[in-house]
Formats: sequence, C-alpha cells, structure tokens
Amino acid sequence: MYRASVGITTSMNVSATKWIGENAESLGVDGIWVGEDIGIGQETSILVADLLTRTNTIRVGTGIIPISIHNIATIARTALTLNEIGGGRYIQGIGLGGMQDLVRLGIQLEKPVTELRMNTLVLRQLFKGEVVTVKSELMNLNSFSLKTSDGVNIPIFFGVRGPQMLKLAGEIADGVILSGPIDYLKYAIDAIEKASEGQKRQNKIVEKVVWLPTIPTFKGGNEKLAKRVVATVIADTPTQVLDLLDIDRERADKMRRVFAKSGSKDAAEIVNQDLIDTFAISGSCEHMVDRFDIINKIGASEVILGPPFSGEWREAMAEIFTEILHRRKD
Amino acid sequence: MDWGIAINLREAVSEIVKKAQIADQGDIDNIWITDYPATRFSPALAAIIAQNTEKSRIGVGLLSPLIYSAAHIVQMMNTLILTYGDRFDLLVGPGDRTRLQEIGVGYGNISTLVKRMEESVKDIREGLAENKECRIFVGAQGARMIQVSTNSDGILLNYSDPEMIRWAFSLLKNRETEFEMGIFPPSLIGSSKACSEHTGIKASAAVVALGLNPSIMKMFRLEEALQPARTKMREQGLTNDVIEMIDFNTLSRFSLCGSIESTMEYLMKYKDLGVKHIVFGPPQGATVEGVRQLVKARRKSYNSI
Repeated sequence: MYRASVGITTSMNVSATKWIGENAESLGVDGIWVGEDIGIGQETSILVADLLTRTNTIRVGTGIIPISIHNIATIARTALTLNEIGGGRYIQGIGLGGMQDLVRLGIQLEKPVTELRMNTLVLRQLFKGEVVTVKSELMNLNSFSLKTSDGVNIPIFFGVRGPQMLKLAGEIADGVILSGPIDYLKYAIDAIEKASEGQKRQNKIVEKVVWLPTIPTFKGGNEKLAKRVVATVIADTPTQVLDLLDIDRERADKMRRVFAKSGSKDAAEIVNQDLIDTFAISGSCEHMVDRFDIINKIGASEVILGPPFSGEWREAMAEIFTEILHRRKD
Repeated sequence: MDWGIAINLREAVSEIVKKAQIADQGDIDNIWITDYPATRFSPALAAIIAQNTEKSRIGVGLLSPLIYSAAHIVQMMNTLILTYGDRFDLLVGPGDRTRLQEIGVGYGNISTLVKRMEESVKDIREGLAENKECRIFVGAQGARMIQVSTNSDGILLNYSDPEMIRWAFSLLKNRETEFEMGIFPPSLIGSSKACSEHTGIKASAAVVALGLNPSIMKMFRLEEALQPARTKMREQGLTNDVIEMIDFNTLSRFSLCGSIESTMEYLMKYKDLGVKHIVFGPPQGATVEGVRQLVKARRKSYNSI
C-alpha cells in the first residue's frame, strides 16, 4: 500500500493551511508537502514550522524549495532548524524551480544537473557537520559549517522532470517528487530505478512521490481554477517530457505560447477536458482513489492530494482519505 | 524603558523555548531571535516561540537584506503576524562582513552599501505598512547608517558607552516623534563571575569593538587601543590572544556587565540620554541562568526604570 499525503502551496491562506495542520492526523494523512510559490503568500519555512508543531507523527516536507533563489547556507540552516522542530519528521525537498519562474526571474544555469548534484552533496556535508568550501554557479561557501557536533540525517528529495535529472535522482536522492501523466510517470519511475541500481547508496530504495493537481468535482471543485493549475503544469513541463506523451500536442503548444505571453488565466481557456484528465486527477471520490491505486501499481510509494482546493474541499478531502483507509483495510 | 533579551540560538530548540518562556513570564518586553551567523533560521524559531509565549513581543533579527531580499523579509514578517498575531518586530542591518563572506555574501560596492540599506528599509516599511504594530529597527553604528535609521521606527546601537550613544542620538534630529532610540550591547548582568574574567562577555564586546567603523574609532580616540588587535585578527581571526590584546576598560565601552545594582545606575544614565529600548545582547541569553538574572533585575527595576 502507498502513503497518502496532502499537498499545499505557500499561496494558500493561513486558515486553510492551519485547518490542514490541525486535521491531517485525524484524517489519516501520512504527510504534508509544501510547495513554494516563489515570493507569493506565506513564507515557506514558517509555514512548515507551523505544520510540524500542529502535528505529532507525520512527515512534513518541502516540495520543493528552489535552490536557484535561496543561499545554500540558508537552506541548510533552515533544514537544521525544521528537522529539530519536527523531531526528525522534516524532509528537505529541493529542485531548480519551475521553468516559468526561472524565466521570470532571469535565472539561467549553464549546468543545471551538475549544480543540483553539487548542492545536494554540499547539503549532506553540512548536515554531517563538516566545514565546507565550495564555489559553483549558485554556491560560494568559504569554510562554512552548521556547527552541529553530532550531525543530522535529513532526507533530501528532488522535484525534477527531465531525463538527466531523473537519472541524477536515482543516483543520489532519497526520494523524488514527480508530476505528470501516467505514461510519463511510468517512464520516470523506470528511469529512476535503473539509475539507482548498482549505486552505493545509504538508502537503497528511492521513494517515488507523485503529486498531481486533484479536482474533486463531487464536492463542487472549481473547474476554472483547475484549468489554470493544469495550464501552469503544462507550461512548466519540459519539451522532452511532452514529447513522450500521447496528447493533443497542437493544443498543448498553443496553450504554452499563450501562457508565456499572457499568463495562466488566458492559457486556461485553451485547456480542455482531455488535458485535465491527462495532467490532473478529477471526478468522483471512488474514481480519484482508483487513479491513486493505478499510480501506486506503476511504482509510486506515495501520492499527494491537491491543490487546487475549491468548493467543499475539506469534506472532499475527508471522504477521499476515508476511502483510501477503507481500501487499505481490505 | 522597554527591556529585551537576545536569545542565543546555539542550543537545542527546547532550551531556546525554555529561555523564551522564562523571559515572557518574567515581564521582559521583547524577546529577540538573532539570525545569521547563528546556525538556526530565526523566522522559523520565532514561530515556535510565539506558540509557547503569551505576552512578550518577539523580535526577529538582525536580518540582513544582503542575505534575504526585502520582499522575502516582508513575507517572513507578514506570515508570522498573520499566523500568530501582531506581536513581532524586526531588526535589519548589513550584518558582520567577515561572517557574510563565509556564505558568499559580500558588501558589494562599499560606497553604495548605505544607499542600498536605505532602499531595503524603505521597501520593507512599505511592505509592512498595514501591520501598524510591527516596529522596524535598524542596527547601526556609523553616522550614515544612523541617518538611514530615520526611515524606520527606531535604531538599535550595539555599543554601551554613554559618550558614544550621546553622539549617535545627536545625529537623529530629523526623527519622527514615534521613533525609538535603543541600544543592543553585549551584556552580562548578575553573573557571579567578575566581568574581567568572563570570556563570553569579553569576546562579544571584542566582536563589536573590532568591527567598529574607522571614523568612529578615530572620533572616540580608540585607534591606539584597538588597532594592534585588529591587525592581529586579520592574521589569525578572533582568537583569545586577540581579545586579550584589548584592555578591559576599552571592552567595557562596548558592553554592559556587572551586578544588578550597578547595572541599574547605568540604565538610569541611558534613560537620561533618551534610550527607550534596551536589548541585553549575548552572552546574557546564552544560559537559562542568564535569563533568570535578567528577570530578577527587571523586577528590581520596576519603580525606577
């Protein structure tokens, strides 16, 4: 059986995230993942700290923090703090950041794969308490250390998509947060497993977490909002990933052009039901959990519910987790 | 006068929370959570302290706009206030140059540093304009940064010498009426150990003294007392040998140390100078006992300061 978690983003309001923190464990949720909408809404580490203190047993992770916009020392110091606040329940999710965000911020990396590899290794060194001197496209540390005498073991998960990044994840990450259509997920999970074979890794198994937009239409989910989220996901999907998919490519490309020119609201007008079904999970409670089961069968160890949250989302969330727990018992 | 304590972030979170609770229950007005070069991230700890205390206001910082963008600092403060209520203040400033270099952050063009700080303070103030209770302090030392602080809600100077404080406050003629003048010196009051033998207070005072702006050093005739130690520090960092090169009287100009009774006399002098806000800096908050001693002093001060 798979872990079932809830995903939230920093752009959600405080009352919604507090409700999730206060109710997650009683709903049977296995974890909470926080996605950073760069510069928007709540500050990521404060939100994560709040969720860690509102829960007692479940994992809380970032999914993800972009290494391209935060100083690596800040990421390490924050991770150390959150790991301690959560008594070891914190997971450090990192990635480069969404393609659209990087373009907007004018960030362009010459060697993104190398950079993610180096940043991961440096984080591990810092978590062990080592003194690090390193210089790269994103990092410039000079004899910096976290001054931890014992060292800490904080799992590092990647939020990545492209083939080289998936290979890197299989080689060095403790887990990967994936998003995309079923066909892509099969490909990605296979790529990660192949890359992880034969590696001298501390954790032999790379966790595969799948996070798709979920739209519980049985409780009045807002279709317009869903289309905007799907538009953003498609716009952020690398071309080589889209090439793997059997989708209406002409429509998808048109949508990406509109997104680049005028944003998600206009792009959402081009998103049709086929694209929603491909890039999101929507429908009745039973149908949505059926999809989670399928995702688990292709190799995912964890699925994440939401966002977007609209309509009677609290009731929808309760029903979905009840159904998941019911099937677990069976 | 408002009393504050800087909580040391070196210890475990449980100990940090315990110290904050003692301060909160002991009527300390402000608990300051310092950030880098501490190895913990202060905004996340401010969240935990807010959950575990009731009355004290919580100060975040010093946060350096050279590490975090003004927008990010605004986001931190807004999140804390939205989640835990309007009981947070902020201290901003460039931060220690040497320690910033360790994480690849530089002062950049030194001639524009003050201007950049000024712009950051303005942006932060604009971003937090709706949170009327949130005070933004500027950590300052030299004349130009002191001037920049007039764009904020208050200033915190990191020295303790009345002559230097008087000079700094004399530069603040254009301040708004609500502007708060304060100090944040290394402190140790109520310790059973003699100040001249306490490594912690001497080291903290030395950090401030050796980082002193050259123009202030000249103005207050401190070159002779500090220059040899500064030269040595460039060679070997801040070692005990370097600290011992500075005579104790000089270190005392950068720290507040002594019995509770003698501290009261100093606080009266500060009050007369116009100090409205004092933060007892490290090593006062380094131990639980240090926090307890400050609470004891606070209770003794009620009728006078």
